[in-house]
Amino acid sequence: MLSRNNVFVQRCNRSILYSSIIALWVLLGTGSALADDFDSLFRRGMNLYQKKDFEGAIEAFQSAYKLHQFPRVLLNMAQVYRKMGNAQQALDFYQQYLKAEPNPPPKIKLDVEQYIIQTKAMLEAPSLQAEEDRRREPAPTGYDKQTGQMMPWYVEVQEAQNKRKKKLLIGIISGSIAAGIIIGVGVGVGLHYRNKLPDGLTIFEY
Amino acid sequence: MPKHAGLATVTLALSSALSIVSCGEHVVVVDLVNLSAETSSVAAYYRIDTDAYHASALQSGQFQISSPVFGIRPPSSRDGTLAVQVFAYKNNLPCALNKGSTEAKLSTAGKINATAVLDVIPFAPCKANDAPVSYPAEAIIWAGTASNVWIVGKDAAVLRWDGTLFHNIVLPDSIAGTPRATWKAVRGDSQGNTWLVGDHDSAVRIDAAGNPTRLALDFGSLNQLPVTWTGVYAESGTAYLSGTTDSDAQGYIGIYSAATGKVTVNQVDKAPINLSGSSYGLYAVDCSSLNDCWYVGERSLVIHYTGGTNYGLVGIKNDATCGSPPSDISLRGVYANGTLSSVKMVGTGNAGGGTGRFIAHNGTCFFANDKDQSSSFTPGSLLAISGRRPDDLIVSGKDAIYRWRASGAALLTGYEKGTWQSASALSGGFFATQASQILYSDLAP
Repeated sequence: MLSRNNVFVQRCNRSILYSSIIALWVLLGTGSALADDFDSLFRRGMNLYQKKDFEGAIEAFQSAYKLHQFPRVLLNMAQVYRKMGNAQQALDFYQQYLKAEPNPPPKIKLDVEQYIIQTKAMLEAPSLQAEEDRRREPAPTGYDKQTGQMMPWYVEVQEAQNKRKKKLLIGIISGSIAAGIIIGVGVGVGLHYRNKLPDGLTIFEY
Repeated sequence: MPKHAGLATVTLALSSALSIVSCGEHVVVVDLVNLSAETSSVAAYYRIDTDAYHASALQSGQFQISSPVFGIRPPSSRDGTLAVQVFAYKNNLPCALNKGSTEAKLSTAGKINATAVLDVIPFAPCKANDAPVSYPAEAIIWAGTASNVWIVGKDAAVLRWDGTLFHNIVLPDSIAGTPRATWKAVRGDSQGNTWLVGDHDSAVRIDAAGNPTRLALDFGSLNQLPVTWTGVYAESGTAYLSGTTDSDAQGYIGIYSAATGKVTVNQVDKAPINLSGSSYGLYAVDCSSLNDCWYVGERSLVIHYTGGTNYGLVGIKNDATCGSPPSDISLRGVYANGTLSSVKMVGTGNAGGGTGRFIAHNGTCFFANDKDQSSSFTPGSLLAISGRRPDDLIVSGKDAIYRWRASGAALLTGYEKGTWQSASALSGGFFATQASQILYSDLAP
């Protein structure tokens, strides 16, 4: 009776060991899949901008920029500052953008140059017409206003985002598996030890 | 986190937990509380619902007095209620020190805990009738040792105590006879066989492996009247049986030979015994060897067998003066140990209607004494005698149990009234039976 019990315990210990190894492997696999929230911050900035929450938009863009220093973020921040009427800040960010992106797409370069002219003018003598124009200015997006096509810089952003999405999804799934196994092993081991029979127990077969 | 990830987590958690928990035994673990420190074995009788009881025992070394525990593994397919009865014993005797019970529901998997809180029971004398087994009616007992005790009785009932557990042995009709025998005597031999004899010509040998054999009878030229065998002595493959017929109370001696595999039936007054005029019912036999046997029965009949075909009648006198013979004594028990002075007999005067008689040899004759050592008459019949030693015997009968030593038979007090129809002595105590009751009592040296 006793020998049978010992064999049984060995078999159980082996299965617990295998489960633990699998759980550890899966857990390590999730290390490279930490969530990257640049995309969500960038989108958040855009949404807040559209809701005219300029302060919130600036804060979101700043946070996004801390994660990834894409020049276009500087441009968006410049646009937001301009909408806020903060010409000096807008001008600073337009200039930072051009410094970070010396060779922007021609269309953007042209736009930025126009905005710089506008902001300088605002600093010198803001007019009602300029204010009106500023209000009519569409929100900055990654799409060309005229053609509707995705801008090259935004293509890069999107590709980077897609890669991150994949990583994030793998991370979530791997993490779930690891969490499931860890929780299961924990609960199982706990229950197993709660069910563990005393050493040397004599068992009568019915 | 996507919904399916949460679901996967839960599923994996459950499957992992179940895969590990499935390693857990489906075992009822019974903790014993209040186990006596003197315990040398623990008996467990257990069953699910109304099943027959199963029985197992923990021997010394299989439990700790400080934290006694054992497990019972029920079939995985069974649910219901597991009922457990627990008895603690010492010295291989069937007197429980503790007893208790517990139950466990089998509906849950894994380890199921149960606790049996044990009550303390006075050890000895005891009624050894606690276990959930069937105790024979009209019980007759023989104890070779404390761990080899046989109790037999009506309906061919056989109960064995092995030192830790009682076992009911159910004999088929082919062995027990039709109608089923009422066993009148049981005795073991030094080869491990146990011999049972009773009414309806019934004589059975159960070998050391537990295999029973019904012994065939060879009546030769005798009328085949049904014989009730009343006593047995066996050794080295030979058995001697005492018997009587119900219809005409004739005396019979049966001799079983391993060579023939049969019991040769002899009537007392016919060849080869030829004790003419003395064929009265015989009720007991005892031998010191196969060539020194004593048969006793009705009408003060005592036959001494000394080997071959040598059977002789032995007279009993009325008192130690070796004068006149007594009135008819229905002799029911005999003890033999090789010398005349060691031979002791018991019976009842007035053809069974009087008080008890103690018969011993005084160097000159066997004489009957109708009083114990305090000069008191016995309350009634004396029915059985068993030896601890030649000078230290146990005698049982109606409303009395005596310890018979050189100084005389002393009435043992503290026992129930009733007809103690059999007794069997051990070195440290004795068993006695009445109805279905089994008594054990220690005796001082």
